[in-house]
Amino acid sequence: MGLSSPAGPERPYAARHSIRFRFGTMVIVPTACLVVLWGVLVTFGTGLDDHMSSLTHQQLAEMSVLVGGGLVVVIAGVILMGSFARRLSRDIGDLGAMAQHLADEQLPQAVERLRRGEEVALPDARPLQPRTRSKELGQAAAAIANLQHTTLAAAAGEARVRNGLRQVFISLARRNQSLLERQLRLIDALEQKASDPAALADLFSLDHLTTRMRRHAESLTILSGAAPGRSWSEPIPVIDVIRGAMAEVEDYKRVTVLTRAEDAVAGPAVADMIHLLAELIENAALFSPSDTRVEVRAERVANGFAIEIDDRGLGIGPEQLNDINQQLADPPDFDLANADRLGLFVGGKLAARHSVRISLRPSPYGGTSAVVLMPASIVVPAAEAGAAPPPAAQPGNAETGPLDLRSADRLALTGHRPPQPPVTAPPPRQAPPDGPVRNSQPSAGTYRGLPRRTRQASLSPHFKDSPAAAGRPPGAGSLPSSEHTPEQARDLAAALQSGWRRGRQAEPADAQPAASIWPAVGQDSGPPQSEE
Amino acid sequence: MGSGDKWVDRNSGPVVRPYALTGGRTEPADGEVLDLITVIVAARTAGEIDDAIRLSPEHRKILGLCRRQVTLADVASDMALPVGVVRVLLADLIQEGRITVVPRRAGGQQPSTDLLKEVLHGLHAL
Repeated sequence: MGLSSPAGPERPYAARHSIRFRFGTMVIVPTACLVVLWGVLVTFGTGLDDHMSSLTHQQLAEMSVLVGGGLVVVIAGVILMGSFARRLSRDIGDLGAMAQHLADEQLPQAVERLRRGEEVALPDARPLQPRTRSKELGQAAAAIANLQHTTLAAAAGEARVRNGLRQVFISLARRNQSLLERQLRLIDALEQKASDPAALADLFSLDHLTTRMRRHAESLTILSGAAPGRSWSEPIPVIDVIRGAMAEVEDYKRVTVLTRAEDAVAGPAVADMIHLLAELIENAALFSPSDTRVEVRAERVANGFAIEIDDRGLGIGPEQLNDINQQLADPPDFDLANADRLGLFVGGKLAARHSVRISLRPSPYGGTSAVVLMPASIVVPAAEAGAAPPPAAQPGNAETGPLDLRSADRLALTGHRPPQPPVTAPPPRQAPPDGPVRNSQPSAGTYRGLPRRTRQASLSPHFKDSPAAAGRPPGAGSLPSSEHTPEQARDLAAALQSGWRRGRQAEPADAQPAASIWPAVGQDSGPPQSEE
Repeated sequence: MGSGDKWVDRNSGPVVRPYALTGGRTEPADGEVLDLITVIVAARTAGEIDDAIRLSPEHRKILGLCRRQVTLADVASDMALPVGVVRVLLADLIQEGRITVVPRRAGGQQPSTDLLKEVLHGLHAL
């Protein structure tokens, strides 16, 4: 491919004249010559008198008829030529205007639409039919139409190639991402098991590398016009979004997050915001000395929510800053030739997707400060976000729900026990027939697949909930166990109810209420919320 | 593209990777690697948690969990975080005096092997 621009010298437009002018001169010059000649004859006609007198009257009459006829013919010729010239001039003007319209509007629009991936119907080979009767002009019109057809076909071909390339990028990036996500899950599991700080440090390095690889895979999908791939349905606290972004940056240890904000980012925008912030934080970290800090502040403002990323680098010149701001505000179509500003391009594209405004300005510290202004539409205020599940940094919380503090109380009441889950112990002989029911409980494991301990599950019934068996540690016994707090009473009722429900589901025909109460009471420590 | 190309909510993993929670640190700040069954409790003097800007949400959550005595293992389980990460976060709080380690009972009171065997027999008999 590759088009070479016409190398010929610029044609001198000023030396051109319209067809009408040329015809005019062609007619006027001979006519004027005739008139001048006639005038000369009349003026100096006296010398001819002798000659004239010698002519007969008859000859004079013939001459005048001839001269008159000649004049009529000349005038008719002039009129005909004039009208022809006018028509030709108009036809060519039409053709020119048509070609101009094609070149200035139709083709660029069609190419633009093709570039955006829209379908454009190729025009017929000869859509242009100028009102001309001349063969040459018709041919010129056909040639222009052919040119249009060929150009559009070429543009469509290019768009197809682009689209194909895009799909290849997306597909490769997605495969990459899929593998990386699996690798991260594996690293998660390994980190859970790691007890040695040195081993954990190695895992952290691996985790960090994988996270950054995932970010680059996401960049590729975003460049190709697709969504990053990860998504959340619940709002995620802003601080977690910022820290998530920070984790994707090479020099994350230099980044300090300073915020009191408890607002959250709406689920659908979370992945994009993480990526956008990561690009900006990376930029800040890259262009500042490695012994300086990068500070990220976040707070609610009248127009939404602002996140400010401050570096202590050398700063950027005002012209370049202007340039970058322009690019961020209105990301141009991706230019493969300009690959060194990939991050900015990705940032601009993500910002445009959520109407986020990014502006870079000189920082008071001499570096650059990037301000990201998220519109209120993608920010969930703290009050509403508080109703949502707590920070997703601990996704497992969805299972324990808001019970954390209470479960801590219960743990304190029963004292400290080894962390091994006793659910794996064989059920006692005189255990009520609740074994299978309990095992079918959906929330039997934690988020990462560890079995969740069921309190007193392996004790025989008469030991259960006995304060003597619990062996309270000193200092924790501020709650006498004979008293039931409202929370405990509610838990008990909830457990009873869920137990009934389970019992009915398990044995719909002949379940006896009395039989299903026991197991329910027996596992009051299981998180009742998980049933909802 | 199939649905396997989307990672929704939990499938996306934690929003904040564990290493970012500790700033990459794996060694506890005070150098003391706490045992899994170490019992900890929030210091009585800790008072209100007002230092929101300096404490991360995880620190605050640990403080919330430690209002009563808990073991390190329980905190890690409730936080759904690797024990190594919780250790580092706890060490931060211990260094700041917001959390104290409950001293273990003296070693002389450990039950004898005979007693343990008896308990084991009793358990088998159940």
